[in-house]
Amino acid sequence: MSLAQSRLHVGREMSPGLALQIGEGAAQQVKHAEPDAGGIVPLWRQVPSQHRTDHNYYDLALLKEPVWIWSVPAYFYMGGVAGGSAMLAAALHGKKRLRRLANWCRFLAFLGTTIGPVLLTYDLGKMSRFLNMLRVLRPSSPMSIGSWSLAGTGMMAALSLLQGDRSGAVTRYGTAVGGLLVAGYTGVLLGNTANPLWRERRLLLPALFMSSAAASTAGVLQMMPLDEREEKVVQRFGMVGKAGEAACMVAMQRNDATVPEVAAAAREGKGGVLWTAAKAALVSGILVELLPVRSPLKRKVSGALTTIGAICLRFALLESGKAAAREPQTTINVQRRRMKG
Amino acid sequence: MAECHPVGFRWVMEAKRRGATIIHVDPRFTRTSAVADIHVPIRPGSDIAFLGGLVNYIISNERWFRDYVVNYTNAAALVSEDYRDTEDLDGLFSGWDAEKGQYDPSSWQYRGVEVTPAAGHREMFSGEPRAERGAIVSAEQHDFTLTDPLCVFQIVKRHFSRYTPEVVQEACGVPPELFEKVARALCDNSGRDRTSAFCYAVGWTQHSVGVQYIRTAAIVQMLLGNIGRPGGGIMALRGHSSIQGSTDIPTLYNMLPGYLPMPKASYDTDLKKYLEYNESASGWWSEFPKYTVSLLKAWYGPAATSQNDWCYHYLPHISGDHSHMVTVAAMADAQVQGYFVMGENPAVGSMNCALQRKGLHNLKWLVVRDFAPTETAEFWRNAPEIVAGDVKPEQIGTEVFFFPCAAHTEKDGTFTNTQRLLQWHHKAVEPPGDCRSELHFIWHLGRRLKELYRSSSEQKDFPLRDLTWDYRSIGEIEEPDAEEVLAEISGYTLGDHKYLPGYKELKDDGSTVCGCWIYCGCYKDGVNQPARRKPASEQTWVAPEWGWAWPANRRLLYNRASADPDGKPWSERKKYVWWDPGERKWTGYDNPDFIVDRPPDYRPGPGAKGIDTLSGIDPFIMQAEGKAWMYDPNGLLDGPLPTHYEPEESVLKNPLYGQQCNPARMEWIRNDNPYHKAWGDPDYPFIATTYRLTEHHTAGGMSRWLPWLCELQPEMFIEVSPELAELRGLENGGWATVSTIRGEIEARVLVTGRMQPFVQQGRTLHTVGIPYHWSWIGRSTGDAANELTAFVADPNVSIEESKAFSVQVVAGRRAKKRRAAAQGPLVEREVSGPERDLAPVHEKPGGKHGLHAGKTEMTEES
Amino acid sequence: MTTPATGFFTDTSVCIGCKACEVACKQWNQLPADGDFFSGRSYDNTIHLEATTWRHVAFVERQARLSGQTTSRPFSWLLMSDVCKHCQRAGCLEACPTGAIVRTEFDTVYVQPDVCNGCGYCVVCCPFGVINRREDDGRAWKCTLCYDRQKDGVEPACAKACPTDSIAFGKLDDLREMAQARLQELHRRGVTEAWLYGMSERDQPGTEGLHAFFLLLDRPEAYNLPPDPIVPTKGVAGSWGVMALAAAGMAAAALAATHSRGGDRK
Repeated sequence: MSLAQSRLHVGREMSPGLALQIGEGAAQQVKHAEPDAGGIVPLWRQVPSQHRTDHNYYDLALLKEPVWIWSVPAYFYMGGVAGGSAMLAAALHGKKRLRRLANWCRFLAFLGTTIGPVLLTYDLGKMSRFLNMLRVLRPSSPMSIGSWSLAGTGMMAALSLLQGDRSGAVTRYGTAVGGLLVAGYTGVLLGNTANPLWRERRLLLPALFMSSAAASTAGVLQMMPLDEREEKVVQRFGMVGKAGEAACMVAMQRNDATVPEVAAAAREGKGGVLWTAAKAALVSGILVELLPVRSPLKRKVSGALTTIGAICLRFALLESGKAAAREPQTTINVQRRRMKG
Repeated sequence: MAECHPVGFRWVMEAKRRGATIIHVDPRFTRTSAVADIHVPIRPGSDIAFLGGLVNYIISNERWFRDYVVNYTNAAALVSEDYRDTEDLDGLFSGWDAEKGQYDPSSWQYRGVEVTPAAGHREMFSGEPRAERGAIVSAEQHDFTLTDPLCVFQIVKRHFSRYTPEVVQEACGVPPELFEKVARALCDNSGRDRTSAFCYAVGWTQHSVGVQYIRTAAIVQMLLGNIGRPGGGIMALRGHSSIQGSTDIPTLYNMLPGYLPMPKASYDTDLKKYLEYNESASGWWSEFPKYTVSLLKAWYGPAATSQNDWCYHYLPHISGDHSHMVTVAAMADAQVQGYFVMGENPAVGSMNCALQRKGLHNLKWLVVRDFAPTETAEFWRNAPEIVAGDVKPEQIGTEVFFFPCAAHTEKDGTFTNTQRLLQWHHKAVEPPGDCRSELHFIWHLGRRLKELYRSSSEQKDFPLRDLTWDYRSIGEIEEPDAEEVLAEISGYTLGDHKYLPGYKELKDDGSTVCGCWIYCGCYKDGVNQPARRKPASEQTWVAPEWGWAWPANRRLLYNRASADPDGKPWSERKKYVWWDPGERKWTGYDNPDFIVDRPPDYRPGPGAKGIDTLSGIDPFIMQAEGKAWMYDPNGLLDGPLPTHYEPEESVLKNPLYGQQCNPARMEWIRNDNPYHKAWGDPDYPFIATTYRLTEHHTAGGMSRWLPWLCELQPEMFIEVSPELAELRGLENGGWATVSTIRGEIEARVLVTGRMQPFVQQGRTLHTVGIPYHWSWIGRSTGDAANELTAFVADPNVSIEESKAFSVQVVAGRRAKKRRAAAQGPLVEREVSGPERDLAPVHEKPGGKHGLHAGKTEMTEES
Repeated sequence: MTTPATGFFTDTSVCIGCKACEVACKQWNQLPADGDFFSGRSYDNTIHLEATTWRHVAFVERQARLSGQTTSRPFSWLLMSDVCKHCQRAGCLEACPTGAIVRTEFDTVYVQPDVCNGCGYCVVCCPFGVINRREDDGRAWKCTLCYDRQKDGVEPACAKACPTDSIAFGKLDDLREMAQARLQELHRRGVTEAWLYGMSERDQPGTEGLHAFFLLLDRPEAYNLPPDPIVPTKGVAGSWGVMALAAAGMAAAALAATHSRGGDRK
């Protein structure tokens, strides 16, 4: 007998097994949480009244964790490459002997600004409404500015790819400015949230994203067949980026150290592993680069390491952000210390 | 109260906002404690010791309200010289009849007289009806100086003199400082200018001395002058939204509407005798015949004439105790054929669930009316003893009829609340599917039965044939008109069909019809009075135009006591009803609960009869002598005064008396209802108490189906103190198994500082708190707390003892769904050990179905 | 015509933890139950405000007495009904890229379900951890301050259901007055730990005041509230500045990297 039939028979919409209802609350989809299953909120094993309630509320998260999935950090990386490439492409404009490199850059900028929105849309709760991102321009929202930048840069990058060196000044400078925005806004976006880890780093994140964008761009280009001249350009651009990225990461760790809870969130768990991996990849990328030999293999290894580092870095930031949101004491202590001044 | 009556608690919080002190006495720290000014943790089952301590404090510190006590209570009355107190007899009052196993109350009487009890329904157990009822207590038998050693006041004083703060500590585990703080706060907030109220919920009644708990609170309130005055009183918070209504128009076996006693087969053999035995010569119950005849006219209409005693003989005549547990025990012994269960879930909510289900197994048919098939409807399918394999469904012959019922939003009707306030609720939507109201069910059932017997000429069928049953039906589903039923309850005159304005208009000549005399006037002027909803801002603070309160829309009973003996308010602050010397009548904010033109200085002459016997200073008009009874000379079945007795299963020896338990309690000595040792049972060393949570409704029939409520309290759990958790290795969030000799259950553990151990008599006593909402059906399930409880009851009202008993608790899921009702006691052992009773009580005669209540002929079917 | 700002004043000193607000909210807004989960945390089994739980009652068991309360041992149980704060400077609103989150004519913060695309940025921008994205429908949800009921001149479901008037709904100015009076009354009675959380910009500069503010009896973190929340967009200029500098750096790096001494222009 179907549920609908059994409802008819009982008169009231209840079946002993399901307790489903029609009418009010009919659309209820009730999760069956298994208490011992753990999850984000584990079954509490301490005695509520003997808990240090002065400090927090049963160790429950005070903030919500970011809901973003893998595609968001993936986009952060793609956006960085796109932004860096766009800037480099603009700088390479008209340089005849570097035309191939310029075209690579234009292509990467185009690719990044095309795949990027797809990745972002994939994360949306309502994908069909991705165009709503351009429904308004909200200057207070880094995401709004970023969305417009991404859209604008995407158009410029497409034009630039089509027109190559023939593109006009508007396209050229537009690509450059847009690229810089796309490369850096994500740092502003993360830094200006309620998440204590990101927030504590809000003055470093834009620089980190920007420098890492340069490094990522170079990393991708390094993995391509390059002639000596191109290699030099890429190497120089990349070294500045990598040095900047490394400097930002060091500065970030030092900054974290002043807030032990943030440092802990950054150090521990998945985020910590990814952060360490990012550091290791970046440093080894630099070290390989500095080896006193010249070979395409060295260049490609260095590029690959830089790329891995840049990707790990972005996933590390998301994961550590989640960890920081889970731990209420991080938010509380940061704010308490600030209140003390 | 906040826990179980959050909506009513709004007024407590309102009072607190205005400066009231809230005192909460409860074994647990509950939501009420959270907002109370004082929380007093008390060992479950020791309330009389605590309240008795208050009585002693009030008297010994001279905090009692002399003018009130002397004039409005029976404190000055002299008691028979034969009276002996529990203080003299180690826990027994004089008059214990060892042969009958019950008290003979004759030694408790006022000197030289016998007085009828108000609402005299309960003397059915005390043998012969009283021949000389209702004589007036004459003046020479009083001592208004209250110094005579045999006046009520001195007896009360002596009786409670041993309930010192130290004894309170020993019995209740309440530290003396805390006790004194409570006593002081209570006294400071009583008197001419201030009043204090007691609120209790049914938990207070669920003890083998439950009625005496409330009696003790009444004594405190009488001494402090807190009855019949605004802000005073004792509020009984009932378990459901209209349980007060179901007592007024009773679903009780021994009462007719308006607290008229059900005729007894053995001696109320005709109307004359029935009236004679129940009519009081003095006080308001002298109007008894008017109420009875009007009721019979309502039920039997034209067939009821003065020639045939108004069809009195049509009424069922009860032959014994047919209360809930007595009936279920008979059911378990296959002595009952059929059972109607409406809006109740005894397989979860009643004591010793497995025995309840054993009763259901042995029926021929069972009708269950509820929102969804409850455990009571599904007992045959997957009850614990069936899952355990002790009972096979194919062995159960009971035919179960399940009727889905309408919710209160799907039918018209009234709720009567604790303040006796009737409030009408309108149908908002039609009930879905086959769901119908109780009114619909009963009316159509009656209609069909009448149809079946329409042409019968057998005498036994006449009551059905002559029953007036002609309500109008409305709509497609033929719902009877609830307002028409209300109009009949309220009453009208037969000749010109005028709606009666109040019970004073009722007649005993068959010219008035009234379904329930206390509700008379609720359809005054043809207006549905309970449906009135005038906002508070548009009327006085007493709000007489919101709903309708029985009797006579009176918001405060016995409110003549709000004025002093001269008829002036005790104080300006507590002004409520007073004598207007100019108009020569009682007036005030409320409808005066007194003979409206009886001056304060009126004194009845010799030979006065009926209500003329009430003097101008007799506010308690339902009592034969118009005074509040601090001491009950006719006695409750367990004594004229409350006395501390331990629960049937205790962890402590009674610190006051050799008599451990209430000698008159009802016990069922049966293999399916075994008991623990009287105290100190090593197998069951912890105290258990059961209770409700805000999030669920009683046995869960209304709440365990609703995801919104289930997520709030998703699982059965028990509450223990950190100390008990450590002692028994219980982990917060983990599992525990709780057992008695009758059953075992498992539950999640909530370890919390809201539970705390008591240190008494040199021992640390631990309490296990057990919510009783869950069982095996619905969205949220768990084991039922009442699988643990026993059949044992208060003798006066047959209410079970589920608020204090002993249990064992161990960590882990160990329950194997064993039930004593299915397989005998869980632990086979010699039950020897300390005696519950003194020697004369010990040999209590047993009755049918294992009941030992010491009742005489009335417990035998005749 | 301007409509006066409305809000909630939640007085935790009279909350009895009955959870009527939670249920009334779920019923009115037709929100699903979050699942049956015995949490082991006092009587709190719904744990936190969620996309499908817009009122949540916290149960704080403390081993400390409350002023003015007599208990046999140092213990108290603080109860508090939490809700979206409808901040004067709302992190979610200022972060929302789609314009789905708007300020209504009642000066409350409202997510338009027909616009929200579930980007999730508001989730990380709420300093109170209130708003969240629903897994089953992908949009962000939070308390609407019963915008639909308010439009019909009816008070929000939670305030209507609250038996002890712990949840007061009304014009913000009136609520502030009421809260001040209540605070003074409690202080007069010796409940010295009572204080107002987020009533005005002075109390909570980071959000410039809450339209749903609270009278608390302990530090905010005891109730899972942040002690000093700041709307994330405060100080965003600094980040943009750093970004601008870094951008200049990258531009310079790009120019420098592509600059060749020989000059290879065509």
